[in-house]
Amino acid sequence: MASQKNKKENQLIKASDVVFTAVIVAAMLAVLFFMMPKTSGKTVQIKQNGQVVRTLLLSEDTTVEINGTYHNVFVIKDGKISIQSTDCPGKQCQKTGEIFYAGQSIVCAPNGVSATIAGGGDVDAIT
Amino acid sequence: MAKTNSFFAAVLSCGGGAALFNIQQVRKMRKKRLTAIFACACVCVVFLSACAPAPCTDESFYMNTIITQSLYTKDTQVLAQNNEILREMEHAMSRTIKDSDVSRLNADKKAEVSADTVAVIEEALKVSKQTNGAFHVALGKVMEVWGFGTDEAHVPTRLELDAIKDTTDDTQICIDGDTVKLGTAQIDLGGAAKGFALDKLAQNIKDHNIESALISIGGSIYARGKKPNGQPYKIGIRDPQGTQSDYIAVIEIDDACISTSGVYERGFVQDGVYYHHLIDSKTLAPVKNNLASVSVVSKSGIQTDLYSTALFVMGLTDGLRFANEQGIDAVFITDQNEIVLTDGFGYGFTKK
Repeated sequence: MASQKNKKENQLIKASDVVFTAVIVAAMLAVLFFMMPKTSGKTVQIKQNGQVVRTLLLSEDTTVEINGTYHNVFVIKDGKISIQSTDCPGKQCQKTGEIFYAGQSIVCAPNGVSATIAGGGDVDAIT
Repeated sequence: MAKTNSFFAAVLSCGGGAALFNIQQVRKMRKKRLTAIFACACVCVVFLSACAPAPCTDESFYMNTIITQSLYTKDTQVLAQNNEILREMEHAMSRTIKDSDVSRLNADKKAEVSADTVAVIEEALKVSKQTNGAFHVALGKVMEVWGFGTDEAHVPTRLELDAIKDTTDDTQICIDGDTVKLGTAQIDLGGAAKGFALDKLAQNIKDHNIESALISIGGSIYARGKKPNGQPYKIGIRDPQGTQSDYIAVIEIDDACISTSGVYERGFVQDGVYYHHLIDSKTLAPVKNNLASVSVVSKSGIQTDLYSTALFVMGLTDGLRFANEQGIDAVFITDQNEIVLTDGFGYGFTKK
């Protein structure tokens, strides 16, 4: 009886160890899970003069107007965002067309506005 | 970050509770082992979350273009200083701001200007002479007549262009201290100001001992050091046949600038023909050759700007010969998307 008790105490791994380790691992996974970017859908971030003014889901069709020096109308349709109309000179932003890949962006420099689809590309910048 | 910390605290308390529960049941020796497991877990969480440093980032608009900055520093003042430098540059060299150095020069033929404006004009004239006018600083009036980037963009008649021929005479430009005289010339510093601004920001970054940074001024890029994960900064060269976000090749740079002149940057379509903004100073019209873009890498930002334009205007054969002679690192992309590098191209290059 005594030797059996000793044997149990000398066991390298006890049930409680397993429970303890499992709790720690589960907690770590939970932290990582909550820290991961939401993968429920691609988002697009619209900034004006460097400040985020809108964060939108690409999966939800909508129209957004951004007023500044000029007037940009963004439209999200079928998972793509584009500039539907603008009164900026040159209309360079509208010429960009539809974007839908992570890291792509539409820029309207005259209006100080950018729309960028979240998630980086493989490069740090494009020249 | 606050969110990460609160989760971290949650793990600590949860793990701590589990540890207490166990400690009551096990012997001292085993306690050490559990503490070790717990410590390992904590270290892992810290490494996975808190350790990746976040850069100071900023997006701003100056000189009619978008500027993005990403600096690995805790000193948020550097971004503010950089934006002030950009604001000053814009105020000196814009063609659209009425009382800028450039506007006053073009209007009054003679003006006192900032040291920066003098430096840019001097450098531009030097490259203009060296490239036999392939880069040309006196295209202010010509750019205005074509109207690139405005709603009035259109193809001017030959008569209109002949009538402004004297505004392109850069031999009349003379600099005396901070006074510049233009004569009949009209200048545009659009092909040099971004690169010069890049040099000024790069200097400010070095002055603040920032070891890792990436700055893009409308696609003219400066990268310093490596990213926190030890990877070099990777710059994509835009695919001339794709969108703004498509690239055809990747160049790795460290403490260097890269700038590209491409037909896609600014232009307009009239009667089904595309007209780009890279003007040949001999014809005063968009240069016609088989190139789609030229990128130049150099320690000097203003040189990447000036030479990318000059090499484009020279064309593939002459541009490549000139770049090789002068030891300029350049990437030529033809309208068939063929890539041609200068001899002994000195930077990590990968075709996508």
